[in-house]
This record gives sequence, C-alpha cells and structure tokens, in this order.
Amino acid sequence: MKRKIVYIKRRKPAINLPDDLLKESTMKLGSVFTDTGDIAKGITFEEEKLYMPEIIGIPPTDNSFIRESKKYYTELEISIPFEGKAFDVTIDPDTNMPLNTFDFILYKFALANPTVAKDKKDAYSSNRYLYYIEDPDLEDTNKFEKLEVRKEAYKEYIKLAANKKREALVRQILGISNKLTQEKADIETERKVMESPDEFLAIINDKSIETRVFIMDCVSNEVLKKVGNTYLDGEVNLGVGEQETILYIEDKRNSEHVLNMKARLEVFQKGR
Amino acid sequence: MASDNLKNLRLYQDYWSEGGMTDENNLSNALLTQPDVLSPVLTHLAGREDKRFPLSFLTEGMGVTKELNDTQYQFPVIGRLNKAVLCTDIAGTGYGFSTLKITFKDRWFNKFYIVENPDGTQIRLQDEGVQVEKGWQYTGIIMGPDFDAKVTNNDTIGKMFVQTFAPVAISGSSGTTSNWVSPSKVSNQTTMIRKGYQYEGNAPNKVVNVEFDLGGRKSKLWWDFEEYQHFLRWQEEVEYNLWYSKYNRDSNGLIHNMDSNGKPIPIGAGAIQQIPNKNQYTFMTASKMKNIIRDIFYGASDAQKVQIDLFTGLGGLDEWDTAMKSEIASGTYIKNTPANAFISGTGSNLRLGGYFTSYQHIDGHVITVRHLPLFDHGAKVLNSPKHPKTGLPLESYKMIFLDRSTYDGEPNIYMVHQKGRQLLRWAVAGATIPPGFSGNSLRATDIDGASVHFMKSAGIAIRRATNCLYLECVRQ
Repeated sequence: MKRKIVYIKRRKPAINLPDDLLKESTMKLGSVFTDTGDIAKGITFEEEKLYMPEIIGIPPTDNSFIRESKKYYTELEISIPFEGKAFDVTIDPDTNMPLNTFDFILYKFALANPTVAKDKKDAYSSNRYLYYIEDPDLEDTNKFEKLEVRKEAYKEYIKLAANKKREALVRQILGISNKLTQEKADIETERKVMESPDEFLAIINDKSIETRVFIMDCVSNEVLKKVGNTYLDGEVNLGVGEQETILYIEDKRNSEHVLNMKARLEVFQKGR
Repeated sequence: MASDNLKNLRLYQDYWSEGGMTDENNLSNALLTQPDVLSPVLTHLAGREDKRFPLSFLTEGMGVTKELNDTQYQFPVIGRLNKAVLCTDIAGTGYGFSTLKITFKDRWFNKFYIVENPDGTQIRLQDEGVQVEKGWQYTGIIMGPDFDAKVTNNDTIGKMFVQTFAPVAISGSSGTTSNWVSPSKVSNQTTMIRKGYQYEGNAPNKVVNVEFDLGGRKSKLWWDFEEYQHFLRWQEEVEYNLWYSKYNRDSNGLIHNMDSNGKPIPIGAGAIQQIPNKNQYTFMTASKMKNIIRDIFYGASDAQKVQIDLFTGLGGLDEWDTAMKSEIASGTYIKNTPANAFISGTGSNLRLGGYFTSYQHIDGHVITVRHLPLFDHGAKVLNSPKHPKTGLPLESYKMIFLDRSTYDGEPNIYMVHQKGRQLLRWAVAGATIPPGFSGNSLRATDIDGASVHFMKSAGIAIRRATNCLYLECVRQ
C-alpha cells in the first residue's frame, strides 16, 4: 500500500532573520475557536467518536469522553520545525480507517486552523497565513495536468498553421503584431502557447473569435468607442462588456447596423 | 447593550471632523459652544488615553535609543555554538570494523571527532573530508567492541548527526582541528512617519464650555484640547509603528511601495514581526502555560537571570490569572497558600481579589505580566474579531513576551532612529502663529490659518528575539 505523506511547512518570514535563528525558533499551531466558540477540531463528532478513544484512552460511551476530548484539543500543540512536519494520512482501504490515527488527527486539526494556507502560493497571498500544506501527490497531479494541457495546446498550435486566416485571428487576440516576419511571428506564437497553454486553448475553442477580432479592429480604428466597459457606436450602446457586445453583433436583427460598421471599418483601414 | 445605553444617555454625539481643518464653524457643529451642559468636566468614555505607549516609554522614554546614519541598519546575532548536520549518503556498512564513507550536507565536522546519530550510533571520522556531489564525504569507523555492528541507509541518510569529542591513541596521535561560529546579521530599517494638523481663523483662542483635563492641567481653550488629541494620536501612531509595522524590502533588497513622489517608502519590522517564536491558544490552561514558559526559557542558557515582560490586554490578563489559579487549585500549592492571599476584609466587608502578575521559573528567570491598553483601546481593537465566549476583541487576548534583559551591558530592546530625525516638529504659519511657536510678521502662507507638522524616524531593534514569543488567540 502506498503511504500518503503530507507536510505542513512554515511560511518564510518577510524579515531577514538568519536561518540558524529560525531553526532554533519554536512555531506551534495551537487550538483556535470556531464561530460558535467551540474548539476547531477539523473532524465531525462522529469521526471524533471513532478516532479519539485511541488517543485519549476513553470510550465514547464514557461520561467524561466529551470533556476529556475537548481538553485534549484545547491544549493540543503541533510544533512545526524549520524544515516542516510530515504527517502520514494514509487511509487503510480495507478498514477505511487511518493507518496512523495520531498523525491523521493532528493533520485534520491543522487543516481547521485559519493560519494554514492550502499551498505555498496561497501562503504568500495574505499576512494571515503562517504555514502552508505541501502535498507531493497533489503537486504531481497538478504537474501532470499542466503537462497534458501543454500537450493539447501544442497539438492545436500545429493544426492552426494549416489555416492561415484563423492563425491571423488567434495571433491578433494574443497581441502579436501583424508587422512581424512569418518566422518571428511563429516563434512568438509558440512562446505564448507554451507560456499560457490554458489561454491559448480558450482562444482556439472560442466560437466567436471572428467577432471578437472585429470588435478589437473597430475600437482600434475608432469605429466603436469603449467608455469604461461599455461599447458605443456613436450614441448606440452595443453592450456592457465584451460578451454582451458579441451577442449584439451576432444577433441577426442587428445585421444592418453591423454591415454599416464593417463598411466604415473598411474605409478606415484603407485610409491608413 | 452597555454601549447602547451609553449612546442613549449622551446629550450629543461625538463629532468627527473629517475635513482636516479646525475652524469656528467646526466647533459650533460639535456643539461645544452651546451654553448649557451638565458638567463642565469632560468624561473620557473610552477611559484614560495616556497609558497606551509602553514600548515608546520603555525605549525612548528611558533613553534607550541608538542613532543611525542610514535608514537601514544591521546587527550581529549568534545562535547556538553547536550544529546538527544532515547525512546525505553512505557507502559501506562498517561491518567487522571496516571503514565506510559517510557524506554530510555541510563541512562542519572535524577529523578524529566522533559524530553521533539520534539512535546513539557513534562513528569516528578518520579524515578531513572531501567535497562530493551530495556534500562532504568522510571516511569513518563505527566505534565500539561489537564485530557485528554496522550501519544501514535507514540509520544514516536523512538523519541529523552531531559532533561530540575527539578520542585519540595513547601516544603518537596527530592534532585535531576545530570549528567556530561567526555571528549572522539581521537587517532592518527605520520607518519615517509624519503627522500634520491644520486650523483656520481664530480657532486656537476659542474658549469652549467644557473643561479639559490635559494630563493634569486644566484648560477651556479648545486648541489646547485639540493639540492634546493630536499629540496622543501621534504617540499612538508611533507606538503602532513600533509594534505592528511590517518590513517591506524583498529578498533582493528592493522596496516596491512608492510614495506619490515616486520615491520608495521604507518600513521596518516592528516588534511583533521580529519575534520568531509563535503560538496560538483558545483557553489558557495550566498545562498550556507551562509549555509556553518552557519554550521561552529553553533557549535562555545565560547565567544571568532573564527578565521577560508579558504584554497583554484585559482578556489576556484574565486568561493568565485563571491559568495560574487553576494550577494552584489542582496542585499541592493550595495547602500552603494563605487564605488572605485572595480574600481580605472581615465580616460583611469581605473582598475577593488577588491576581497573579508574575511567574518565576525554576532557573530563576521571571515573567512579569503588564497590561498593554493598546490591545484594549487601540484602533485595531475596533475591527478585531470578537472572542466567541466573552465578546471582548481577540486583540485583547494577544500576549507578547518580550525579553527586556541586558546582555553584555546593552539592553536587548532599543529604539533606533536616523541621526537628526528623532523628532522634528515645525509650524507653517499663515495669518496666525500656532501657540507654542515663535515668529514674526514674515509668514509661510497667505492662508488665514496655520498648520503644525510632526516627523519622526523610528524603529525597534530586538537583539535577542529567541527569548520572545508571540501568542495569539485565533478564531476561524
């Protein structure tokens, strides 16, 4: 059976305290309140009855169980050393119980603590966080998923080369200048695909890509005006936000107005 | 409920002047010029305001300051003289008194010394070590009389080893070498803070119908009271800076926070951020209290006694006292505690009271509990989450243990400021000159009014922060 090991690590402090000093320091996760004034345990009462007898040595049927369990959690401290602390949170598939109940209880307790961030990136998003979780399995999964997305994006990028008109539209949305040589444009496109495969795939799968480029052209040639988030053709409000404006342009009832805009755009483009 | 009653009983509300200017109209809006009031003496509903600044008082107020030539400063710190080193690789088992090759992450160990893992396995290093891919590789032998003794990967790799002593042959041995530890440097910077206030017209000379108690001095001049408020707030802002400010240079030493003039705004680490030891609590129990005290004093290896001050709010004082009393109630102390320790008076005039305000550790080190009103009445209290049981702000339960001892003749905590910028106070005079400043008919502005400005460079330096602890009461 593969063991599932997760870590809780300290967020590096902003001040330049030397590592030796930080290694000697004591950082402990202690008990925290829930909104109702109870101690945040990170497990349900049913789970508490299941796991805690092994920890406090009192069966859940005993009158003192709730009091002693609460006392245990009130005084519980998890020391997080400089290099982090590992928890074995493997669940035995045969019994559906943790293999290491103590580690499991501690980990759940830590998860309920509002100073523990869900990952390293999150830890630096707010001053509230002092610690973060490092789950190597999750990181592998994330890396794998990102790899799959990159592969898919590259596949679409290769296919795109066969359709020059669509390629030009995609490049325009990606912000690649049409004044670049073919070679430089290819290099730049590939770089963007590898850098942001998610964004590239979203553009490729966008059914309104032509309309989107049309709106961009209209704005850059001053056929349309963008005031705040609103797209205006003179006095006519086409929509608030790009999505609403796309709906307006793709609505057949507005085809006459759209033809008029296209004609004006052509005139502007020829004039430049 | 109590605060609602207070609101209902007020004759008029506090007036918050947001305009930044005091003029006669402001004073009239604040109803302070109305003729009839119940008592001419102003009552501070939020309590006295002048006990909020202990860190300023204990440093600058006691003359414990240092002058710097620059915004940034560094000071040397030193931790333990011993070091544990990670084993990264092993080749050979040492079976049958054979030699093995053992690799450590750092070059800390010396030739001929015995190094030991957490299980007590002792290996003598036979050479000075050579640098390899995984660190520093030494030739070693397992010490002891057992021919079958050996080490495996599990005994060594990933384990921390320490150096103990260097046993040698009875005669003809070679000399050993030794290591030494150099101090690390902690860098911090001072923060430049400012405050200004303005008035228009004849506001300084306006007499109002409330008598103000300005730290013992009585006055009916509005300007005296307004200045008193500005001064208190200035002191509070300085105190906030000393406790709460957060260092803003990145790992490359760059500041990304810019002033509107495009220049960087340096902010130093306050006392809280410099404390590396952190813990959390909900209810302070005797057991938790003992753990905390042990953690604080474990690193205090000096022969001299360590003086720790515990700064906390009313909530924290209550929790600390409860924990001490529960320790007494549960232990054998109760038999030896005189009744008059907590009860005084006689007959129907009994009084229950008696609170713990200090604790002496087995080493002789002492913790003194000090009330820090900033945690009860400071601005941060107003938006602090509430304690789910008592309703007090969680800020009131914050406990900060500061080591105020003297090391090598120097105080552990002192205030730092840039040379010539400890405190600058000046006025920009217009039609009038603010009271307390001298001047002539030449003025800096044509406005019918004037302004006063404070500027101060300040920071707090804790030389030995390892004996300090930050304890927080947290809710989800």
